[in-house]
Amino acid sequence: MSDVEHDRTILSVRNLVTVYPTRLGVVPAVDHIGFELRAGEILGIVGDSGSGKTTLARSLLGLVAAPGRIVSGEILLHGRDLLEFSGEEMRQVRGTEIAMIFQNPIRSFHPGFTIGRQLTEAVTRHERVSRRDARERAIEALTWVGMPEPAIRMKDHPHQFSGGMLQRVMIAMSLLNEPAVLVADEPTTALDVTIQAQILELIQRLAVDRGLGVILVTHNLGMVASICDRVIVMYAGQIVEEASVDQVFANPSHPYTVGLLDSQPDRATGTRLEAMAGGSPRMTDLPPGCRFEPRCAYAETECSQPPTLWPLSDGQTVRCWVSRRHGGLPDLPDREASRAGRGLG
Amino acid sequence: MKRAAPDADSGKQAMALLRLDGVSVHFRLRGRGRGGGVVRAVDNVDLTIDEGEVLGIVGESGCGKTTLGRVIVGLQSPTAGNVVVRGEKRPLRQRPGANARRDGFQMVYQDAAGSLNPWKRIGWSIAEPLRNEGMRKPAMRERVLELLDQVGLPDSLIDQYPGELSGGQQQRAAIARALAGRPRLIVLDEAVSSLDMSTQAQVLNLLKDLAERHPVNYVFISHDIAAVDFMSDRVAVMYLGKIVELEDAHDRKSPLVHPYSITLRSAVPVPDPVVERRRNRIVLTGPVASATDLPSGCRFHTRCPIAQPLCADAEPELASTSETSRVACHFAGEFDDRYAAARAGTTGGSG
Repeated sequence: MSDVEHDRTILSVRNLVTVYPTRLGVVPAVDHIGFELRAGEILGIVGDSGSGKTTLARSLLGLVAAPGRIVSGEILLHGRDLLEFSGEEMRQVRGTEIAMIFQNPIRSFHPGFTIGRQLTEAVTRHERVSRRDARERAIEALTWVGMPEPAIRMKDHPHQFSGGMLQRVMIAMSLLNEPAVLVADEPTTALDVTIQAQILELIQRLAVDRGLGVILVTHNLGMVASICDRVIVMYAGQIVEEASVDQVFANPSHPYTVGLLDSQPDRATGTRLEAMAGGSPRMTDLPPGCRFEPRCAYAETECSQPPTLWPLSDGQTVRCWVSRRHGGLPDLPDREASRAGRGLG
Repeated sequence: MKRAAPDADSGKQAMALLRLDGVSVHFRLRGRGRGGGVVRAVDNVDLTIDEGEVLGIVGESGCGKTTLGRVIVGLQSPTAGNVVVRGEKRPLRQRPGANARRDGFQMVYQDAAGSLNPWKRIGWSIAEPLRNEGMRKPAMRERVLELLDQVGLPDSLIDQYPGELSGGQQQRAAIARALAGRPRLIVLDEAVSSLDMSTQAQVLNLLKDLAERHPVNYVFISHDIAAVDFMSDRVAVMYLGKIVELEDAHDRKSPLVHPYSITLRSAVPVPDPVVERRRNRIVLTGPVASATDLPSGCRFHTRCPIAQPLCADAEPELASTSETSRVACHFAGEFDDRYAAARAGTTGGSG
């Protein structure tokens, strides 16, 4: 085991709002999001495409693509609000205190320079160290991620690595300056499953051994079940449920979470999947009340009012009137009938 | 789902919609320093698809699953071997797509937008196979509306452009287009992989409904093993151009036997934290072999956790383990014992 201090809150996000202006109005891609991340914890963020999970991830690093912008909220890293930092200060924070890895590692490297040069520069850009020391740090980081013969691979260019190995280099690069938080946006989507398993094991080991706080953005519930401690479920820009990984899978309390679980072919009991009807709402034309209401089999009259996040028990919170009233979702024996009756079947 | 299979072998031959006999697809590499190199994308594959059966194909990128799918549908001619469709040998033709049209086979790709012309209305794209048949306009519109209804899209979409549709709607439109000519077989190559989970579930259900209402076969190709299991009657596991295991998806009692299939399944995380915590992943060691420079003997032996000297010398045959299952491994059925022994021997209990 290690002497790393776990369970200390390192990142806390409060009321974060990130918007994109469009022709049809300003869209809240991240709509009053708040959560905390502890050292050594792996927090999963799941949701459909367009739910705002990637915008949220990019907001944390100040990497929201223009014309999108953060309009309000706080991102407290070790107690300091990143939103008050200048561009130059943010550049220092990125990579040294909070780092991000992306879906497609090959795009994150310059094709014309060796991995060694790019890793070394990532060190010297942030710190006054000799090239020799920087080089040693780079080799050490490659060792952490399980790269065989790291000193030799330093001389290789990005195209000489396989996808899985390059993702390891990417992770090594993000760890060079020992950040407290790693944001991983679909880090294995481009990789084969046997390689994916290795990368997940690596991320988990880094969290346990080094106390790295990890935010894993994914649509893959298998990955969430495999390595996450806690889960945030996003729908149409909002958090609809937050819970421990066991609570989410054993006792989902938002109808959308239930729908996501029912959509998994591994969990199918019959020859059909219990598919949710319809699709996500357009962000320019959101329902006035609960944003999931038009697709919801549990919906009642009060759902025409916007629900707030409500604490259920043991750190599980849910944005659902029905769950709030019943202390969890009630059984719905006539779910098919209710759906057909609402003209959504 | 699966129709009753006849007992006699001869009867089965008559039932087969499609049979591959020793089919290979070898691509010659061009360019400096690569002269003479050959990629064995598909290498000597024997396979039968029965009428009404859904065959799944799984494997990692580069294993040849897409090329095999293209051979089945008739968009790629084999460089060796024969394709027999309903008892008749498929002719070698030069023009791409000629065989697919003759046999009434269709393919649906991951990128649905790619099979819909972005400058034309949805109705136009769906009707394209019908125009090729020479169907007249009023009948055509009627048929397109019928197709839209079958795939659960509103009539109004007929006059919209692909860019106005969501990903799920585009994939449904691509399926409608594939259905237009009443195909006997549709090869679905990662057809739901780019969709959100909830949309993917809708499209999988749609495919199952369509198969119940129409006499259509699917070949379901994906890296997503859970989706393949859910859809298929039989699953072919491919590794470097070969089928290493054919398993009966309905017979989960008989365990997998090929070390590669076992490894592949152990690598896939399942959406259940309780199962995940108890799981022991099998981690592959050894270099990934290349389809241009195949290992001797069994092509998985360089990475196989239970490989023996024999495996480097002799290539195992795809042999029957039951009426519906086949496996190509010298030590089929001995994985658990041999893996435990191999781990005890090499790690010395340090793991």
